Amino acid sequence: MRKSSDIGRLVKISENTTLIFCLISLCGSVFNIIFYEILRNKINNYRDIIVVSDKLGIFAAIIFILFFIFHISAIISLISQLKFFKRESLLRSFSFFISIVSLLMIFGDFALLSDISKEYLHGLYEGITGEFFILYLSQGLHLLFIVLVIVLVSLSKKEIRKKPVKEIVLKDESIFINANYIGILCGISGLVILLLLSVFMPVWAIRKGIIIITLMIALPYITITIYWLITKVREKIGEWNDEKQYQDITKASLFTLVFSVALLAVIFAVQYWASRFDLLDVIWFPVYLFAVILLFSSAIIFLSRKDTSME
Amino acid sequence: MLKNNLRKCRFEYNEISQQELANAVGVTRLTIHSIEKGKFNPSVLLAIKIAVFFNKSVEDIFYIEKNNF
Repeated sequence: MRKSSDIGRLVKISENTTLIFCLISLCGSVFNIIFYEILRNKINNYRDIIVVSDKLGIFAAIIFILFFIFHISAIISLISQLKFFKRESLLRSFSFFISIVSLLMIFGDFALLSDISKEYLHGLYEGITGEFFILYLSQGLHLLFIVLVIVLVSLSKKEIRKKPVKEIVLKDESIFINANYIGILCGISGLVILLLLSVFMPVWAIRKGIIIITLMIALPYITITIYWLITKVREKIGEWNDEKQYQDITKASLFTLVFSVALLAVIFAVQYWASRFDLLDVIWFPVYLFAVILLFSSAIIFLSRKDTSME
Repeated sequence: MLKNNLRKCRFEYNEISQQELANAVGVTRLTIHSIEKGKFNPSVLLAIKIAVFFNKSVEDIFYIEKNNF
């Protein structure tokens, strides 16, 4: 087993690397926002964008690569922090969730820019506003992630300075708890986004993007669960959790079963009587998936908090 | 509900931390914390492991209050 002081050193190295990329990405993010604003203005005023995109496009491409490296480095830092501090933290779970979504949005940015250029070349200037709106939302997400990383790295540096060597933890509950915090975030985000899509988007547009949106929101939970499984791979299945965790999982599963059946009954009733049969036909599975993740994770967190709260 | 003297036992045993006890008996710190607070009943196996660790009998650590019989 690797000593905790070695892991502490690894945490420090990965955090310093992340911090350097974080500052570069912050400048890159500001540059991108200015670049997109110039493009949007030119397109709105029916002016040529070829010269600007030729001049500044290369920098935007380099920033994409830097963003990607920064995200990978930050995710490694977050995982090493989870491993070193062995403590559940809502902020760390939230940052992990944002890190994966923000990473995927880098590819989203690329796709949106290529959509914008296609529409521009076909003279569809009016339709570009929607793409720019999502592009700005995505930049906001990247900025939020950069700020979160700066805060987390500063907090972690402070903590390591205070306590450079952590006590040995043979059976770690922090990843289990953090995974459930991430489950709650994925569940809530998934249900809210599905609700917004159902209200504001036509069914054909939802049908087009539902798989990628579902995967994007569920991916943080899938990633942390796979990481948790990797940490357990050397143990026997019966030793993956201790007896209290198994008891919590059993209660949470029963709770999830009862409420998910009730939810499916509501979906069935709406499908049977409501006029938007076509919409539910498309989103019933994502609704069920996010609801189940939310119910199960909330129940686990509730049970672990309830049983350990101070009297 | 099962009551216990776990806190006292830890104090008498060189004031070991919940984490050290958890490592010794193969559970998480939160489980030890829940047992100490009386909010989780350990299995017979875990109760015996804890008793063996403190070199005491199970009844010295865990007990049921008389009015709960």
